[in-house]
Formats: sequence, structure tokens, C-alpha cells
Amino acid sequence: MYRRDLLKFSSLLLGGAVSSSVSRALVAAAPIHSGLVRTIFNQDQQASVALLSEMIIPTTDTPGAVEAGVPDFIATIVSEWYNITERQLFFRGLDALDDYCLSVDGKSFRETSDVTRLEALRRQEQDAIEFHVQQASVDARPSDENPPFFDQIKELVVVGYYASEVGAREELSYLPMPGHYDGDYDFSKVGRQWTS
Amino acid sequence: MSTIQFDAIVVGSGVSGGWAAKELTEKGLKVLMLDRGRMVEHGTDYTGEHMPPWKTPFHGKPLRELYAEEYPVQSTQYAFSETTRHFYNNDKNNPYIDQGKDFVWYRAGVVGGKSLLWGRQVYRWSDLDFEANKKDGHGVDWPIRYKDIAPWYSHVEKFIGVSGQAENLPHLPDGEFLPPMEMNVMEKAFKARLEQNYDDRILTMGRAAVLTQPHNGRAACHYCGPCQRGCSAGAYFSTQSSTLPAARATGNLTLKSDAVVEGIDYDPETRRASGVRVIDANTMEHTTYTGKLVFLCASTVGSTQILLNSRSEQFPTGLANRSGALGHYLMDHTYRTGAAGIFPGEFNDKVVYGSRPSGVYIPRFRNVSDEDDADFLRGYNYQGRASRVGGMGHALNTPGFGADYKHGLRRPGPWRIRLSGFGECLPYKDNRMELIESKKDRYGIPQIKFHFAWHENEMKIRRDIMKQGEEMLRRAGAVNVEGFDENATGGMCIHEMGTARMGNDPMTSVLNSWNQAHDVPNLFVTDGASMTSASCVNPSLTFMALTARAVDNAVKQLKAGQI
Repeated sequence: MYRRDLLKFSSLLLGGAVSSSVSRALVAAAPIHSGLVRTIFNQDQQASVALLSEMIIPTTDTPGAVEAGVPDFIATIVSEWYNITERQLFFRGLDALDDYCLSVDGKSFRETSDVTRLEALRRQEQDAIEFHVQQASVDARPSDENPPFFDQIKELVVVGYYASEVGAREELSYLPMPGHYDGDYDFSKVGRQWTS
Repeated sequence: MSTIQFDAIVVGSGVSGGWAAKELTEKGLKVLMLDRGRMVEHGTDYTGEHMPPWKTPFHGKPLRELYAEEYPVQSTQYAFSETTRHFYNNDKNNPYIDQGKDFVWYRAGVVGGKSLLWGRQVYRWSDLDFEANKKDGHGVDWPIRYKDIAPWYSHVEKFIGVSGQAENLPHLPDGEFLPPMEMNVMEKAFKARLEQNYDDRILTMGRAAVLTQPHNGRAACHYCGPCQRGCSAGAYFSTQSSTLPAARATGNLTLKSDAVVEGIDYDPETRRASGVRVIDANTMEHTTYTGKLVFLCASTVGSTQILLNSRSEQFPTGLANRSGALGHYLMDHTYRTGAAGIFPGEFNDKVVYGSRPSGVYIPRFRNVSDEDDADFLRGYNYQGRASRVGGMGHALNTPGFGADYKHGLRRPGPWRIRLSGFGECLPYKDNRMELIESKKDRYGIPQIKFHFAWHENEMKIRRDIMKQGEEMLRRAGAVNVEGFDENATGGMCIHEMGTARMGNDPMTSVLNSWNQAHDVPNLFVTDGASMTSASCVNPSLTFMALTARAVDNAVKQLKAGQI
């Protein structure tokens, strides 16, 4: 059921230009939205979230965010865990991505080229960096300003991915039952951070 | 209303209560152990144990609305999460007044109490601690010295299992140690540099009630990490893993959970505690239990609340409170101050294997000798560890996104050492708790209000902890060294002590040298409430030793017909 939805969705989303790693990940056998979580995202928003997830933690020699189920995690958090303000900021961020892409080539974040999509996210990242510089300069005065969208989406993808079974086991190294302690262990033997 | 007779009643089932029950039952007494919390059975009720992050609700993100509503105090504790919440007090159902303002009261809500959740660090006190009040005049003199308690430390250590390194320091006496846990490669390097740079300081492995080899039928640690979720292997000391099975094995124990002690009755003719009044937390039914001995082990604040709420014509301000000391002299260790620094380029090819549930320890070096030039009284220790910068926080602090970002996070960041100070708090009369009659809880028991502030001596200790910590790290080669001084509300160290203190003089103290109420010979308080000073050293081992010692004496007095 979900796979059929996925394929339909992928073709709808990507049209003919299926070449980037993002696209490859989307057609891989992994859920964009499993249908198992309650979500307030519409299909376009869910597609944007899947694209963003994969841009932040892409499929490389290990699975990326989509295969790890991050879009479902984000749908759950935004739908059930976020408060109204956070939710509004999140949707405003998705809209801003669309607005930028539309201004460049008349296509939405989902429909535009990989290059434009990347630039749209980089601009969000730059906004976040400037926000933090500004925050740091106002003499520790507490700010009522809300976190930038880039911080939101990055936090969601990172927590969604590294605490997922795929992220914990396949990208990092998961050691639930070490059995002993060695405080002088060669990193080369594991090659990855431990899942915390 | 019914009355049931036991040889001894133990109120509370944490570190102290579990020990009281074990020792009393092993001496042949029929014991009733009461706890206000729900039952937690060893193993089967550790529902968060070994829970992988992807099975944890919202990947471990806090349930903010629920916590704000029902756990505003407990949810600020480091061990609180969805893997442990079922062990904690519900602050909405069991509140106190001005929660979190003057004093943060962390409390469990289950049988086993904080023994399930504790930090497991165990250190003997010394005469530097037991003589401190007499020497500088703060508080009253301890009625005991190290030689009085030393055999009981051994007795307790042999049973619970303490991993640690003997160091032959007079002011931090060695115990009956199992092999110590291992320092990691960065900690070993720091130890060598510290001991080269300073004549008066050493780094030793944390002494922990966690087994490094099988012990008394319990398994050695398997280094999975978060002990506070419960350990079905029984590798760390808790009531459930250790004292409760021992007490049950005697056939002399009756354990009653969901049993809220409202107060203790006093019989003026016999001058004895004559009954323990209990409210069933589920049915609200009232029952009075009687015992020849009553051991209050309900935690510092809990035991004191029961005494303050046990008023009679003879004791109008609380049972055994002829001195007026009851509820006063509340102490905790100053906490959440220290220093941290990183060591870039060092041991980059080394990581640790396994999650070690203990850290490293710098014993007190201030005011150990009379020549010290410190501008404060008493002292502090550091507890810390070296670890690679990593995990979720590191991922979020690392800029960028995409394949390079992902692959960059495969390597952990540099080694970092964090040293956290534990400072002694002097006993002040104005640091206190009281009951507010007009604000009752759902059982009709008056709620507690705290009055607590650090004084100048503690603030000086905090500053010195930061200054010395920064200096030790810098001299060891750390960079980006930063002292930290986080929110320091009393209670946050969860080493609360002192509100029913021991002493030689019945006019200034509640308990005598055997943790026995001066004025009520069959009443004993053996938890943190009994502490006359705070030391800077973690207190749980001393609570256990005082409890075992008090039981031994109480039973001797009972058998001799003196109680």
C-alpha cells in the first residue's frame, strides 16, 4: 500500500528530472509517509519535509533520513509535540522555501531544480546564523524571538535520524550491551561514534 | 480503624529504610516496612531498562505539557525521562509550597525510593568531617567520631559491593573495595599531569556502589550506561537488588506499599512512640500499626515532615522536638559549579568501549591542613569525567548539512574534561522547613514550605571551585577552559540533610549518638535528617552505616529490656 503511494507520489513530485541523490532516495524502498502516524501535513508539505530530511542527512554509503523514517518522525513532532507558535514558525519556514524558489524560476520547493532547492535551504541557514550572531550581541538580554526555521528542521532531522534504528545501528554504532569497559579503545576498530 | 502489632516498623524503603529492614529482620524481629509509593519489583518493573532511543516516546524529547503540569520539579532532574518517570514523585498529586523556589525537593514515588535513581557514589567520611563543627563552632558537635562508624562502613561495603581504588588518604578513608573501574586514556593523562602540578591533589577513580565482579549473587556491571532505569542484573546497589531480597529471605518482613504515614502517636505514660498512623494511598483507609521500635527512614524531608506533623500535649511542635531543632539546619551540597575544557589533538584515535556508570574524583584539598589560606571554612571535592565531545548536542552544534556534515559526524569531537564541585554547606538555623497548616495535601497532611539560601561561605566555596577547576585544567593543557556556575538552588544535589540532627545535648539536638530520639527511646531516625553537618562527601554510605549501627544498638537495648 505504502509503496504504491510512494511511487505515485515520487513521479508526481519529481516529474522527469530524476537524477539527484535526493531523487534516488525517494524512489528507494523507504517511506516518505507510512500512513501510520497522525499528521497535519498535506501531501505537498510532507513532500517538502521528505526533501529537506534527505538534504540534511542524505543517502550515501549508508541510508539517509528518508529510509530512517525521519519524515514520519517530523510529522509526529509537528502534529503532536509542537505548540502552536512552533507549528506556525515551521509552516512559515516551508512557505519561505516555496517563496524563494518561486521567485527564482516560478516553481515550488518541491518542483524546482536541485540547485535552487539547495540555495533556498542555504538562505535559511544563513538567516539562522545571522539570528544567532544578533542574539549573542545583545548583552545576554533574553529574547522573546523564536528560533529560526533552519534550527527547527535541522533539530528534527538530527534527532529523528540519529535516534532512529537505522541511524543508530547503520550510520553510528549501537552498543546496547558492551559487557565490559575499555577506556583505551582504538577508534579504527569501530570507525563511528557510538550512539548516545 | 484497626491496630496491628510488629516488633519494628520501618518508615521508608530507600537506601536507609532498606538497610533498617534487612538488619532488623536478620536479627529476628518481625518488621513492617512502609512506603508511600507504588510497588516496584526488581527487574519486571524496570520498564525503561535497555530501551533503545527509537522506542523512546518522541525519541526522548520531553513531554513538555505533562511535565509542566504534573512534574514541574522532578522533570528538572538529570535522570528524569520517559525511561524513568514511573519512579518519580508526581508533583501535582504530592506538592509542596512554592515548588522549586527556595529549595528543590527531588523525591521518588515508589518502593525503593531514591536508591533506584541515585548517583551511586559512596565515600567514607573522616574525622575531618566529624570534628568540623566542634573545631569552627558552626552547628553542634557530632556525638560520634570516625572510629565509632568505621566498622559499620565495612559492614555495609561488604554487603553492597563498592568498586574503588585505595589511596591511603586520612581524610578520605579507604573501604572494603572491589576492583576499581578503569580510567580512560584521557583521564589517566590528566591524573599524571595533575599529580605532577600539585602536591596536595590526586585524581582517583570514583568509588561506586556498582559491581566490577559478581558479588553476593549479583552480576557485575555490563556497562550499558543509564543505571537509573533499573538494573535487572542487580549490578548497582538498590533496595530492590540488595537489601529487600535479604530482608524477604528471613521470612520476617511485611512490606506495605501505597502506605502514607500521617504521623506517629506518643504515649506520655510509657514515653514511647505507640503507633504509626497510616493512610492507604488508594482507599484512603486509616490504620494504626504498632511496633516496639520505630525507624524513620522516609528521607530527610519526609521523616521530618512526619515528626513535625506528630504533635501532642507533650510535644506541641512535633514529636521529639524538645530542642526546637527539628526542621532547622537543612543542608545540601553546593552543586552545579565547576570547570570544563577540551584537549584538541590529544588521543584522537582513542575512544571508550562501554558506558561507565562512574567518574573520576578529586578528593578535598582545601582546609585539610591548618595552614591553608582559603577564605572560607570547610571544603569541596570534584567529580568529573573525560569524554569525547559527541552525541546529539554535538551534531546540532556542528554547522552545515548534507553528505559532508553526515560523514563528519562519524568521528567524535575532541576529548573534554568536566569537573563538577561538591561543596560543604554549613548548618544554619534559618535554613529550614516548616508545615503550613492552612495548605493540606490530598491526605489532609499539612504541606511543607522551605526557607533556604546559600550563605557567604558557600558562595566563596563556589567561586573557589570554579577558579581552582579552571587552573587545574589549564595547567594540564586544556584549552577553551570555562568555569561554569549554573542555577544553584538548594536541593539540586539531592544531598539534603540535617533537619533532625544528632548531638550530645538534648536541648540542641533531636537524636543521640545512636540515632535515637533523646526524648522518645523507641524512636530512631537514621536517614539524612540525622546528619549534624554535611561534609562535602556524598552521604548515602554514611546513612547506611548509621542505620546498621543504630539497629544493632536498638536491638541490644530491646533485648536488655531498656526499650
